[in-house]
Amino acid sequence: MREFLKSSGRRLSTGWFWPLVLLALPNCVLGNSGLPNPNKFNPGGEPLSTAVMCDIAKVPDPGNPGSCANLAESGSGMSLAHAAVALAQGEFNSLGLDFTPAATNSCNGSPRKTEFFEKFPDGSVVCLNCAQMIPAVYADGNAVCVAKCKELVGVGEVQPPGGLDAYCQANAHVSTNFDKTACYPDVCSVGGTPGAFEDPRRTQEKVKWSDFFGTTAVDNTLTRLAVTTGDTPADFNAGAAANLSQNITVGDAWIEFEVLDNTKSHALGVHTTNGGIDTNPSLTDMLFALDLNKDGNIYFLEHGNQVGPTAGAYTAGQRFRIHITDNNDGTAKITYGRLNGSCTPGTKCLEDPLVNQQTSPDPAYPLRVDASLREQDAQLKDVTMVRIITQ
Amino acid sequence: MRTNRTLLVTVVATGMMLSATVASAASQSLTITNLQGTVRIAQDLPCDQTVQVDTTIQSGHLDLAYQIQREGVLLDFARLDVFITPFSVEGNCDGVGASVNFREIGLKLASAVIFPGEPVGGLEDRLYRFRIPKEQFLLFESVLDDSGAPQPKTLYKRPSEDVTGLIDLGRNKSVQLHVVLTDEVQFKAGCERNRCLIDETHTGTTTSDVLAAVIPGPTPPIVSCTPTAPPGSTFNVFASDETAVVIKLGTFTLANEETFQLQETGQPGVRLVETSRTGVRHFQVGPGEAFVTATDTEGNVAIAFCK
Repeated sequence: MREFLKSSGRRLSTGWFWPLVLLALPNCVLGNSGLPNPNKFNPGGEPLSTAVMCDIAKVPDPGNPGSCANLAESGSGMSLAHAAVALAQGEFNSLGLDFTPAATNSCNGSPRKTEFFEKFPDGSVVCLNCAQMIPAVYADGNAVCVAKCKELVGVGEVQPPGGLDAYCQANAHVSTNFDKTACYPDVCSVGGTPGAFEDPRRTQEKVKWSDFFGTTAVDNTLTRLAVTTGDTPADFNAGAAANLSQNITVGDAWIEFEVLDNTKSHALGVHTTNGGIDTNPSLTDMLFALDLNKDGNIYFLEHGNQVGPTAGAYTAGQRFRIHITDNNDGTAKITYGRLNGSCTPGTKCLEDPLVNQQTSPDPAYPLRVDASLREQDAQLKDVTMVRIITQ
Repeated sequence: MRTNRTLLVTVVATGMMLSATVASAASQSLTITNLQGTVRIAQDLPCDQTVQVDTTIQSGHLDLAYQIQREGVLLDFARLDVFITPFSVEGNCDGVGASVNFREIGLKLASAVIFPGEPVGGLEDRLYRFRIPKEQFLLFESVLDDSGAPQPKTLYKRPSEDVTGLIDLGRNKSVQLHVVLTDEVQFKAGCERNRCLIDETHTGTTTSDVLAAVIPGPTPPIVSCTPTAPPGSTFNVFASDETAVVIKLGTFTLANEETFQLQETGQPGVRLVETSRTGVRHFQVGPGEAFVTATDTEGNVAIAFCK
């Protein structure tokens, strides 16, 4: 054989660019195998321009099976509970941190870490021909993520102790707020490499109003229709709540809004929901709320009662945020802020905190957006929210 | 013929121009677009031939998170995608010509890497050198050529040497990256049953040289603190910048175009005395502290005295 090749080489070496001629011959192979890939992911045929966004966790270091974060990692990673807010603000990290009691108890107070194959919370961009492959080959986005996980982990040197299938079933799924039944178009090139794209998850979710009492909504703007009955707290007697499908069940979140004018009174806040209809349009069931009052000032409310002094004056068109920060114990801290200037989706916007003097305990999840209006035509405009959507 | 051709994956040094967003969380994040650079591919071939191609980075995207620490910086390459400018290889041999056209060559960092950077010069320069062990740098390559296959050729590979680079986290944020890959390319031709006229494997030395590029950061903000008419103790603050700005009086945040009252006293520090019914805040400041600062998202600071 060696002699054959030698003789062939001599015979063939007369040309200047003989190898290129080979390209035109049948039965030719010009191959580069790269790393062994025993579980090759099948993206389908061209074009591979659509994508599923996946959270795929790396196999934990065998030397740290509990995956406890060290001090440096605790300071540099990102809380898993921060995922939705991070998406909206363009924050990311490939190190996710679990601060739940189950995690910290097993790590002597430190969070448990998860290293992702790509940035969290955006997820790995898995390019494929969705129309061709879902559901024909992969049942949904989660199945795509599991298949990609098997490829990625299979290429690596550290293999999961419980087996690849079990590992990927447990540690690969669509990423935060990605609909497992959908794909994003025009994310990748024809050949399947991610390019620049506008991630729709950076845009805030519009509040869908429900449970109307003396109010009506156009899109995500809520207006009081009922005639004004007075100017006492008891006259906050018209309102609505966000659709139950928009409950905030876990994680950091915010609700953002503005008002039409500062000569009417508007309260927007949250209550812990039992999943039923909100039959209370007043302030009393709002555990924490911001009152943009008709006197032109901002007040903090807890259970319908004013807490602390005014946070100062406001004007129509200023946008306010009610922040919900997960305490990782089933409750959340409520804080408030006012945007300072314009705000671009996917960026962290300037915000002036409105410092309240909280007297009530932190509310428990699930939280529901709740609104109450006092004067006729009072209007909460363009009410939006950011939250982790559970599927 | 399967042209599973992957000589191109030698990416050396990538200079990245950036249009960046900076956010602060546990660490800061930086998104860099418009990657630039050059790629040099040199591949030995049968018959003592060598093909050499010089091409460029067509586009790309880098997302990195970083946390500046006392002894350096902790860097997290969370996403890196690069497109190499397509090219063709062609030639002829005794009048017989052939060519390969690469329609698309994409490279993607398949696994995020977290690694330290060590300062170069003073800490205030925020310039860091780094080295990523080659074992941690997993690349995914996808190539489309004119072979007519309906699916791109994909494979995973690691560099043949540690990835090195330089990152500037100061005003002119930039990253230089040096990656070298070596390929083993198998050539077979004229095969019939188990015998091939050509069956050779060449250490395709794909060496590369990539350039770094930097663009200037944004200009600092502009801020003014002007007395309202008639001149007295009431001022109006105004700031502008290409990005959002935070305006401060001492530790207090002011709204843009906010009117406030300022009183100089002998007691150091800035204190909020009261807020009037109309929402005008009244501050007392110590000697020499009657000034406001405006800080943009890049950390550029401008100062204006209220006089």
